[in-house]
Amino acid sequence: MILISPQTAENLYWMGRYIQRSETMTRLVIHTFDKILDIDPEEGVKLYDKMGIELTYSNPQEFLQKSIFDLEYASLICAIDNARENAILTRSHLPNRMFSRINALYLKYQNAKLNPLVSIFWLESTLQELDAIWGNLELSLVEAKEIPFIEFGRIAERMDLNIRIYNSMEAALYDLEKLNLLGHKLTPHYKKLSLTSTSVEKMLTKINGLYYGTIVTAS
Amino acid sequence: MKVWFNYAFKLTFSEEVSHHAFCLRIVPQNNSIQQVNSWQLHINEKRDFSQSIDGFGNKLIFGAIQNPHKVFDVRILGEATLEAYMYKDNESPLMYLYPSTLIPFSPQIYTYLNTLILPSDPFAIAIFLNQTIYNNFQYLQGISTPTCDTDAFLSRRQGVCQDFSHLLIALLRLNAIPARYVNGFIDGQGETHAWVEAFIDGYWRGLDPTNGTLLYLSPYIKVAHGRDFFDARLNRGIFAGGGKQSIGVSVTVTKDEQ
Amino acid sequence: MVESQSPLYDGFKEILKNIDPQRVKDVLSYMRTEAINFNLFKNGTFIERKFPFDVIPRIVSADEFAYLDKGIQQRIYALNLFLEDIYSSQKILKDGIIPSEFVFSSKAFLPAFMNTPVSKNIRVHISGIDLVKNSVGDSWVVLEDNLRVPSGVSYPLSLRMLTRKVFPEFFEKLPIASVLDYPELLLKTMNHVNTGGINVVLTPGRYNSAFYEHSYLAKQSGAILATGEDLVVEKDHLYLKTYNGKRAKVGAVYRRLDDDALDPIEFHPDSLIGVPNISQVYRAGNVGLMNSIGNGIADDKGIYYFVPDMIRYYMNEEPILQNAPTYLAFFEKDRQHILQNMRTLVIKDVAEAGGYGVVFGCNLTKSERQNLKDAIIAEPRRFIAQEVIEFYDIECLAENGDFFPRKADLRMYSLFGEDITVWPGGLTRFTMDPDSYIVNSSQGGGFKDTWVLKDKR
Repeated sequence: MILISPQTAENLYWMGRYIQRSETMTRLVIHTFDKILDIDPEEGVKLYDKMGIELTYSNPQEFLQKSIFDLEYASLICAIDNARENAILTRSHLPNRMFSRINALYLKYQNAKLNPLVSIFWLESTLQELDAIWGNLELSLVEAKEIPFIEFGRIAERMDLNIRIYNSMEAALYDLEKLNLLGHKLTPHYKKLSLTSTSVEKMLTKINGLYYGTIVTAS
Repeated sequence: MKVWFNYAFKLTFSEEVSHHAFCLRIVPQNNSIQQVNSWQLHINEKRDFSQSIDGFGNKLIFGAIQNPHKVFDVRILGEATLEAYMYKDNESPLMYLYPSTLIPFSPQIYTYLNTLILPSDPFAIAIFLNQTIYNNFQYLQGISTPTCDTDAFLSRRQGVCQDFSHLLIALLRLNAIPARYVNGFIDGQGETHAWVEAFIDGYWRGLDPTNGTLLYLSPYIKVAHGRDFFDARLNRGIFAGGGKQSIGVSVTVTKDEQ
Repeated sequence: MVESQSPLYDGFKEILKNIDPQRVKDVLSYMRTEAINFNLFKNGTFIERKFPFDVIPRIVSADEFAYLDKGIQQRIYALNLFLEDIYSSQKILKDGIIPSEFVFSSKAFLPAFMNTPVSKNIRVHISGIDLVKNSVGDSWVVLEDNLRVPSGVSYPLSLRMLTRKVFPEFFEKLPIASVLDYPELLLKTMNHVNTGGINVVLTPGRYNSAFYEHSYLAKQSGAILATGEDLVVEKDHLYLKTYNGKRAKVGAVYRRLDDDALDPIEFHPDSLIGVPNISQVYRAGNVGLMNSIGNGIADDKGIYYFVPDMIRYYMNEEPILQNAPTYLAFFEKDRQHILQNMRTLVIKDVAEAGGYGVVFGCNLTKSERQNLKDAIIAEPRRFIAQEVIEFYDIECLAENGDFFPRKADLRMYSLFGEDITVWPGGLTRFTMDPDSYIVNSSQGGGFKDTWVLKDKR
């Protein structure tokens, strides 16, 4: 029997999602910042528009500031806050080093909050931290029972963002195979997900409801 | 004296409840004056429950209904043989000399006690206090709640059997007479009744201050006892959901015709 | 008087002199990275706070520890027998050693749990004994026993792990007893009382001030960390819910919840963090609860007075460890002493926990003293008085490298499984305020590690 409670499983899943969100969004913000500088000053507006958020800024620095700290639930700091919160809750199930790296990144953001101006170099350095977090997971020698939940969250988030932002069905389908494999690993009752619908909304709903629909049994 | 008892307790919820864990004190005690010869219990018409016993010797019926339901229907019937209300058991009476949650030794109760002129003999004191409370306080439902203490009853002068019993216990304890709170079944009231056991001259005696009577060969079936209502409370449950609750209780006790 | 100015600390100070102050800062940053917290609710908001600590440890000599070891084992053994007795035949009351009034009028005595046998007859699986070292006579006295949910062990444990990494020279050159096996000891204890099933650490949750400790101990001992929500009672056994609907039977619970919060059906109905009907599983003998239900009667401040008598009564031995000189207002002679000598005493209200109901007679105004005297005469059972102990200060390290002394106590821990093991370490708490004698952590103190020196033989 796998000794992970429903609450812990859910926390691990969300931790995976938030770390992935942190990574993808960080890369996106860096990429978009570049574009705003000399290609298209509206690039930031377009990006967040895809997520249903209205963003305004008068210069690239402000774009950076807002997307890192000020967009409430969509900000980068929010993603890492949530990842860290879930890490604290599941700490007894995580490798020590993994927790330390997540917490270190969280503290890095907390310190940066106090600084009026954040640079793009700073943001790039956080990518190293994120790499270290995933690295720890891959190399972890601790019982594998937690990893499928984290991975499930990671892939579900990646699929969501790929479809929502890049409109890349190809990337999503590639991940879909992985997701289905994981699902089967987690529960014999797993119903394979297929993405045949053309409606983006419907696909996103399916992906985001998958965990609750098939992995967790109402107790 | 042989008696038959029949107790039913029904909770109806306006909206479904689930994950309903319960613990009931409804199986009468066995002691040297009360022998329960047989009993049958159904909860929602099934016999899905476990049994336990607490430190007072009260029998506990516990379990859980996980699935959604709107009714919690508990029925017990059985038969017991009763002797005269005067007995010993293995519990230390000294435990029942002190204040408890619903029976504080407050300035108010001392004041009340000082207005009374008591006899000297413990038995006479008990009878006197029993009568005094019966005569000077009014039985009225809907005034007090189960968490009201003796001070509240002294101020209002109106209450139910729980309040009458708590007050008698307070006054007995203040006179160095150990007294415990009893919950049980009697006939005619339509719900469970509370009375008092006082330890006098080496024996537990029964007193009912709500009716002003000394219990001797009365068809009173003791279910549970404790220091006060909290220890002896009959039914407790925790559940999710519920909306509005309504409770229906019925109790009958019938003597076997000789 | 400053204990760390004694020769016992010479070796330590010698090594400290050669250490770069930057490394001290390293320890601080490691603690931050590991999020070792002691969380508080202040004015309704949740604050994550680091438990302030200092790198200068308390050092206990091998002989001192041998003495404390024997003394604590004896004390815990007697307290365990007391609890077994008080919840069954109550012989100690019948023989008049303790006035029954003290037990029966205490809110901590739970008659609903009389005659409930517990796994292996152990009730005080984990204890935290609070001690101070009297600078007059150099003797240790027990200030308080903590037998319900004693906490704090993970703080010195974490600090020890970091100190070893940052300052390995201390551990190379000084014979310091290792403490890192605490989680193993905990596991052994849990296994000893386990009635069949998995081990669980039951936590009130993320916002509890000791949540870090709960996580840490669960992880290191291999027990599963669970909240009340994760557990369920079916028939008369306890189960851990797992994510796919299967249930794992639980055989032992290290519960970090007070009795009152443990079971909303048996105890306080408003408790959302407990497990309904877990008390019935306990009564049925189908789960080992660490610590047992009802231990509060044995660490009740009024019962503390009688612990030496318990040792004599149950074990026929003289107490090795002493209580601080104590007076019970309940006894006429003691009451007179309290009323006449209030200025030299510390008065404790039996009902309060966490240091709030503690009053130093010398700090009161004349009218405050009179009010207290009246209260003592009106409700003597509520008050206990102790002589103020001039206990030692230990130095702390300031940022500029200077030393400054602060009063420090010591909480030592014992684990009772197959036998009683006294952990060769402890939580040393010091006051931030140089004039205070109250070291309780919820009032803003700091902590140190405790180094027990190994016997040189």
